[in-house]
Amino acid sequence: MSSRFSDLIDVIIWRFSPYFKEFSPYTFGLLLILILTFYYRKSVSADFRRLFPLLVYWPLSEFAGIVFKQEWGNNAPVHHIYTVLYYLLVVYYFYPLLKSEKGMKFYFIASSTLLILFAVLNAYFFQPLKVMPTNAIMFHCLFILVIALFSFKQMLANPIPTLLRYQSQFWISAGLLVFNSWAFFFFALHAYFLRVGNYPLILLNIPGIFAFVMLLLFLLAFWAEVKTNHFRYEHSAK
Amino acid sequence: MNTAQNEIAGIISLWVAGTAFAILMSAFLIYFVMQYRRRQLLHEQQQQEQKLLFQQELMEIQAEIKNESLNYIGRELHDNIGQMASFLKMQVELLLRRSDHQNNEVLSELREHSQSLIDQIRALSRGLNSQNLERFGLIDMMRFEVDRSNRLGLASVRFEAPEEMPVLSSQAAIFLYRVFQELLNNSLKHSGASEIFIHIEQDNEGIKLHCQDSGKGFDPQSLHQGSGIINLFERCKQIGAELTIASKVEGGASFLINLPANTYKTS
Repeated sequence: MSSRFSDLIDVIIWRFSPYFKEFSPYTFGLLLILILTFYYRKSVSADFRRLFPLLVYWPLSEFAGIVFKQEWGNNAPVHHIYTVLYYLLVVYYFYPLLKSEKGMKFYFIASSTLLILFAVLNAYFFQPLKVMPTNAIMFHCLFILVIALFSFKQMLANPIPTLLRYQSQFWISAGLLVFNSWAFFFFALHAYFLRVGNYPLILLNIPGIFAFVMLLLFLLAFWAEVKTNHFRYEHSAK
Repeated sequence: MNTAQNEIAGIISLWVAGTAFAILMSAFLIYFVMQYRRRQLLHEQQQQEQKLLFQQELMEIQAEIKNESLNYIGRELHDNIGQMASFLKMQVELLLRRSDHQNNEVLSELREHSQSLIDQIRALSRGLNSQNLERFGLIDMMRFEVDRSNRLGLASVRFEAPEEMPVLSSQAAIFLYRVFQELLNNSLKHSGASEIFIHIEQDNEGIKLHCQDSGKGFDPQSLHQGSGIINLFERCKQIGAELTIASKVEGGASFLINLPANTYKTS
């Protein structure tokens, strides 16, 4: 049994090792948070646990993007799906936190529906599967920015005695705000270049820097979870 | 303008707009952190105020309950035990009239003790029942207490007070009276003093109640939670009065209670 398992691992490594090399450096940061969250899943708060699907989905889509690029020379199809699913997972994280805010339930449902519809129509009429869906990504960034801003608004309206740096919601919202405000700009530039001519390849890597910043803030969110009494109590009781 | 120039202009516009947008978002983040801290402090302050208010209300309720309990005990002493003592004395007098000379001495002594018992119960009941403050007035009630203490013979208690006192709110009158009782009883019970001097002064600023004894004194730093003096501090804080203690071991003790005029004026 164990030899069959190790054979399987060998095959996976042999089959996928060319792709692993292509991973962006920030993906390793992402994997670190993923492993930490998985390991301490019983210790982190229920709110933080809802980030887990996003943390799983993100490297998977990165991986799928690399596979697509190497096998078919284009990873744009992955982005068509990634844009929508990523947004839905962000909604999944924020929904319980913000649903009590006036109009937020409507916003979550309406924006998700709108993004799905727009992504489909965009892929059908404007940016086919082989083209980077910059239009949909820009909407996706804007929608996430609104959620992050509402998250800050909700935190301001209900201040709790815990220091801000020990609140994971703050770090996650800050990460999403920083990344998406820059990503929105870069994808607008990308959209512009798609229209007027060649897109400088160096610009493709710049969002990666902000993704790294976002992951750093997510790591701080995890650290904030560790710093709360809730974490210590449950972890020591394990 | 050719196409290349258009492209550059477009890129520059996008760069400027994008950077401005991202900087705006980062500035918002800094603004948020500052605002959150401010609101957090405000929230904490409000919670602290509510806690203080709650504590004050709790203390008022405790004082009220204590006062009501003392009133009840005072009434029971007067109406029940006092009546039984009076009945006892009447029976003794009846026996004295019927008895022979051999028992007269014992019965006379018993009659005197009964009378003394009735007096003690009456004085105690009067002291406990704050409703008597309205009937007899604060200063007279204090004099009754002093007389009763002097009768106990534990110490010589001297009391000085102005002939006329301002009209006090019932809360302030009860406060002064209970504090006076507490100070007097503390001195009698704990100080071992042979002389106790209590005097009251009144002027435009307020009322000052001063209690001095020649007892063994104490170290004011060594007061612990739950002691009578700490309770006095709480009681003073509750009404807005100020308590000053001066004492040292083997050097007697002096308590000064300053009740500002705005705390006792009736509406």
